Amino acid sequence: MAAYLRLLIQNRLAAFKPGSYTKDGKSKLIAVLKVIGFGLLMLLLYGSIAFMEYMLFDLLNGIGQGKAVVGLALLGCTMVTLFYGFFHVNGSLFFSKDTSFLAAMPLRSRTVLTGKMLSIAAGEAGVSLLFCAPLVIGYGIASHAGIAYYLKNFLTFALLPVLPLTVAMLLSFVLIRISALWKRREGVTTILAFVVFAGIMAAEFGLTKLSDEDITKWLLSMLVGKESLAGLLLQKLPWLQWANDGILTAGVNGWALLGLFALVSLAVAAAAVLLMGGGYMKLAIRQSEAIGQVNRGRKRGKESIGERKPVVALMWQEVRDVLTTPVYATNSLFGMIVTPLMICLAMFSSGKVSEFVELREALNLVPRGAYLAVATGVLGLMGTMCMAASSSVSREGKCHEIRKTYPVSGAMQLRAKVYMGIVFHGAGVMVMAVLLCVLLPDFLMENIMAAVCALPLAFLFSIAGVIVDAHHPKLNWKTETEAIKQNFNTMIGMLLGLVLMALLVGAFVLLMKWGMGWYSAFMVVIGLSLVLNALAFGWLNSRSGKAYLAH
Amino acid sequence: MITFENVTKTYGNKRAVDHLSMAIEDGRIFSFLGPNGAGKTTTIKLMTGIVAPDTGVIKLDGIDIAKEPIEAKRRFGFVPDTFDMYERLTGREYLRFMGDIYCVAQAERKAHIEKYLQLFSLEDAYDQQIRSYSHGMKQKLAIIGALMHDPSIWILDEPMVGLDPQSVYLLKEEMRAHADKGHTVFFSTHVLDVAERLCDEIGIIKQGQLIAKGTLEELRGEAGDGTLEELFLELVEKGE
Repeated sequence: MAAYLRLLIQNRLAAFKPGSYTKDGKSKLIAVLKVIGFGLLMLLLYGSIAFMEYMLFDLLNGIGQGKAVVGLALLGCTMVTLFYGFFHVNGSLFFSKDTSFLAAMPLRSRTVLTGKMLSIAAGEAGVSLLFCAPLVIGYGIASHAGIAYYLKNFLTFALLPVLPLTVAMLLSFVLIRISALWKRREGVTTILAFVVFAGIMAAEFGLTKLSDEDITKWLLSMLVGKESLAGLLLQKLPWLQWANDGILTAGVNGWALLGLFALVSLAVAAAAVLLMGGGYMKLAIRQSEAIGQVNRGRKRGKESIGERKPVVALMWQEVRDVLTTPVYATNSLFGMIVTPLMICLAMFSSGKVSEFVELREALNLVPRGAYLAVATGVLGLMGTMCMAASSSVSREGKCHEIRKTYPVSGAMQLRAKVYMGIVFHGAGVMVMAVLLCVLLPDFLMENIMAAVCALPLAFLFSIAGVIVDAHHPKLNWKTETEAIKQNFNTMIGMLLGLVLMALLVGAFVLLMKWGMGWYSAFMVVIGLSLVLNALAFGWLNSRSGKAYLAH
Repeated sequence: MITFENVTKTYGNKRAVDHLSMAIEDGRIFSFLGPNGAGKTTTIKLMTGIVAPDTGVIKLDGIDIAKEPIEAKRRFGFVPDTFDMYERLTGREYLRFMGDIYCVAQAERKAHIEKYLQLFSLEDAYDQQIRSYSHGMKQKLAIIGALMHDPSIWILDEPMVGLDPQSVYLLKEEMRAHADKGHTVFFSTHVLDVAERLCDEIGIIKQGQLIAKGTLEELRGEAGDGTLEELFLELVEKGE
């Protein structure tokens, strides 16, 4: 068990080594500078998250609710672990390539399941600790907390992912059992993953929603300093309440509450592994064999083998690759499906439809040009949330070498990836635009115009994502999850998209300040986005095309 | 024709290919032999454009792969040692993809696919996903795809591995026929019996350097009588 777990953790850690990303430079100095640059970029990203967390803490502290940050951090981490952990757990347990290899090893099914879950939990605990540190340290400093406070936080956040991951594991088992009823189980798995995800979201919206009565009660109690915001949010999640109170309560009582939280988390996880572990390998093998059996009995048909241009063939191969691989599909379609879903769930599950009607009426007072600009920005943001383009070179993995033997230029290979990216980024824009048309029919023309004007933005983010990945692809992966989810390029691609968006918004604000009208400023910014597209496309065709072939 | 002119490739401190110069004439089957880690795969990667040499020039049918990569890549068909790509495509989709990449006209690709599907008994698996194929079936599909555009140069990395005896025999026949038409076949193998019986010319590489090249008779002249196996062992051990 220990050896197997060590292997899993080593493999996981190896994904973060700079060696996982190819080096295209021959000079050591350039390689070192690139690593430093990459480190600084990561630091910048983390710094901006820390800054936002600090602002939140400052805000809460200002209204005497500083201690609520611990509860909010616990709640936030639990939700994020449940969201992303589900896809991670599903991919690692049932779509990993090591299933057959492990089946031949003298390991018990429960040992394999425990090892995999511990490895995932270790990673998620690291992420939780990293992302919650600014909040809890901020509060610790402000409240002059002792060493026990930091120790309790460390232990709590290290154990925090256990329970949500256990829930994700159980959901994953159910999903695989259900998808086994259909032949096209990968497609079914992808669709059901989003259905399960919607269920999780709806449940969380239901559990953490604050009614008007709750809010009024809290505001009144807050004024006399009796009620805590965290207490209100965590009232339906007792184990988080124990963790929160355990951290904030001094003495033996605090430790006892933390012990209760740890005991419940570990006991639930152990029970789940005990219950499901025995049959895990059997189910995983059946799943992997079922994949191998797909179409095995299918007889020869009469489909076309007609000619297509190389770039078209490459593009459809890319699109197909994303759609037929559950891990790629769930990560690439995530923004496109989840954002509209969240809007719908937030509206309907918390009974805010009447407020929305009021919002619609209020929007009628907004200048049409302003609405168009904001709607275009919102739709443009959808384009930054897709991982399809920014992992497209990395996803080639071992195939990359063979692709280099094709008689097409590196630039053409990358163009095909950009076109694939625009299919997914553009689809995200269109889905959101349809939702806007349904929700805000009074602005139908503006919504249609916004959708059209957001397409150059989606194209720009697609090019930016491919450029990032072409220069430093992560080709040495062993599982598909590593290629897309555990790939820094996807994060950098999104960050770059946001930076480009910020630039365009900045330009828009500046033009407005200089006295330009809404529509004129908007058109200039769209023109600017087209210029950026041309520049980025030029870069892609020259430098990135060469970099692609150099790896 | 394939020519290497003073080609060198270094990875870190290790020189994988060391000042390699050789020419493989048209109408020949050339077998490339060497112990593990000798530089065979790197040589193949260099001639297929997967990696660029540090120094030297490689020409395929007189075209420098560094200067005109796309034109040079149209001249050869490459079969890698392991085929683990596009596993979610069906055989048909993969071959259509290869036909599109190499701009093969529909009539030609249809004729080629029909011929080889029948030859390799792969007709029943044509519309099944590649991941349901056995290793040998994947190898056959890789061969059909690589040869679809009727390249003048065949570059085959361990092509017989995983193939059933009947397919090995058929592939050898095809290789012979291709060379007899005046084209070039370059293949690496560890199966010395195949090399001995099939090849017109043999090259042996060790630690990145070409230690022997010629017909079997010429090599025998260099290292004495015996089978290719004995010659190979003698030549490889000589330098140690």
